[in-house]
Amino acid sequence: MRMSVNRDLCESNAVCIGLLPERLALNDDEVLVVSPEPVSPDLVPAAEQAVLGCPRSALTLVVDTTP
Amino acid sequence: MTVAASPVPDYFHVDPDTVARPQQFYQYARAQGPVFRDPYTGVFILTRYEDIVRTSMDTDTFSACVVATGPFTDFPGPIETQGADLAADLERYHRMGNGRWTIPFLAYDPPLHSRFRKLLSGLFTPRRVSSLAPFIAATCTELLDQVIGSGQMYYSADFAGRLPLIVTTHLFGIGDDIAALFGGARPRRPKSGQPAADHHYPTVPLGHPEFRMGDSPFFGMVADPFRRYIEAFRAEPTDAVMSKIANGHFDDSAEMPTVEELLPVVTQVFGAGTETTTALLKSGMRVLIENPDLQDRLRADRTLIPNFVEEVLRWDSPTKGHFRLAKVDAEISGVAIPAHSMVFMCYHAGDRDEDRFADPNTFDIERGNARQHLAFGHGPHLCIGAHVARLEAQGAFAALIERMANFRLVPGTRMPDPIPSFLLSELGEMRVAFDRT
Repeated sequence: MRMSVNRDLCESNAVCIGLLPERLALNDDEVLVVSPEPVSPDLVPAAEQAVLGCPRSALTLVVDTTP
Repeated sequence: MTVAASPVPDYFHVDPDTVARPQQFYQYARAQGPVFRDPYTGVFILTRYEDIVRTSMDTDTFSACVVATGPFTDFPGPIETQGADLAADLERYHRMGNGRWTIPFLAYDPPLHSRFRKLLSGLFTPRRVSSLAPFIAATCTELLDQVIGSGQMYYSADFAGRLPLIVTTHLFGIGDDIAALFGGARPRRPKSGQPAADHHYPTVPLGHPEFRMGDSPFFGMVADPFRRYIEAFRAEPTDAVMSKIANGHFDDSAEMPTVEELLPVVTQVFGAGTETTTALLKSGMRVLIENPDLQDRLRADRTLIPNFVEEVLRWDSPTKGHFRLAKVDAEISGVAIPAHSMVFMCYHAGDRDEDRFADPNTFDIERGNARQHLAFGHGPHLCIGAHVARLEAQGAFAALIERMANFRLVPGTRMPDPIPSFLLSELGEMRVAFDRT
């Protein structure tokens, strides 16, 4: 699984950063950077919280089917 | 022998017992079921964390227009239509109202809300805000320098009431004239012999059934100065946050808000950053006074301070809850919410929901999911100043813990009552004694 962000919705409120710092960060231009690393099972609860916590509903947790 | 049942506490009419012990009321409400209809006002009270989150996100069904006044809202005109038509009524009233009948910005719905939110949100990100940390530390040093020698302080007048005002005006990039409007430059103490009544609050605060937005002195006091700042920054832009707000465009287009549209939004954001943060600093001090062992733990391990702040936010958030108005017939956890009903999303109750927080009535400085609290709300209206508030509180408690020890109430004084509000959780003035470290 991996995190995906809708750039049209994201406004860098950064609620998600506090909930899933292992995969999400703001770069120097205050743009959200999503780590390409998969979201491991132990991180899924925090990732779900990040998805729910986004005030803009800009995040989704997607099942990565690429091998 | 029959015993008459105790009457249901009258939460929204701020009876003193319920104001002093609100958790009893929330527990009573939760025990009645997922959604409790207040018998005095008809408001549907949400006590479950999940219901509050879902309702906050559902802006199609629930309008924020009554956010701070709920059943005591004086609508400027009729609200008779439903759904999309209701939205048009409300948007028109917001444009007319300019903060006269409800809180600007916080009470807006999409799309009006989104236009202003987008204009502001890039200015309060963690990175922008993190540069405030040295200023916060320096301000704490200055404020505490003034009281450290006397071994006691009026916590609000000398510190908690001043720090957020100084930091917010600095962040906005506006001058001391604004802070001075609120006596921000000098402490205001009661005369000796008088009870330590809090100078900071009107008798009828926000969240009192008699509060009327149009009568609030705050908006009146800052209107002309803020209007001048906006106009000045439009004439000569600077790097100040307020200048960027003044010169912001809607949706990255060529369209800018009018000064009169922008003024109430700026005022609300400025005001929201001051009183609520003061309340947070007081809640945290109360926890420290009532749990002296925590003071030692924080001093021994400063890395605990951020989670201490989060747990204080969960334990006693400055905002007890917010209202919503159902635009259409709705349903929450199987309970029918008829169109035009008021809903109260009770953050204080949600933050004690045992389905979300294990052993919720224990203050746990190491609680792993403290940060999931509802103190900053949820959904599109989530507090835009959350990062500022966190930074201020972390800086304040770090400074207090570093320079002082053995926080306690001045002998002969008592823990103050909370102000009479169904919305805000804030204590009156407290006189705090301490030793130097």
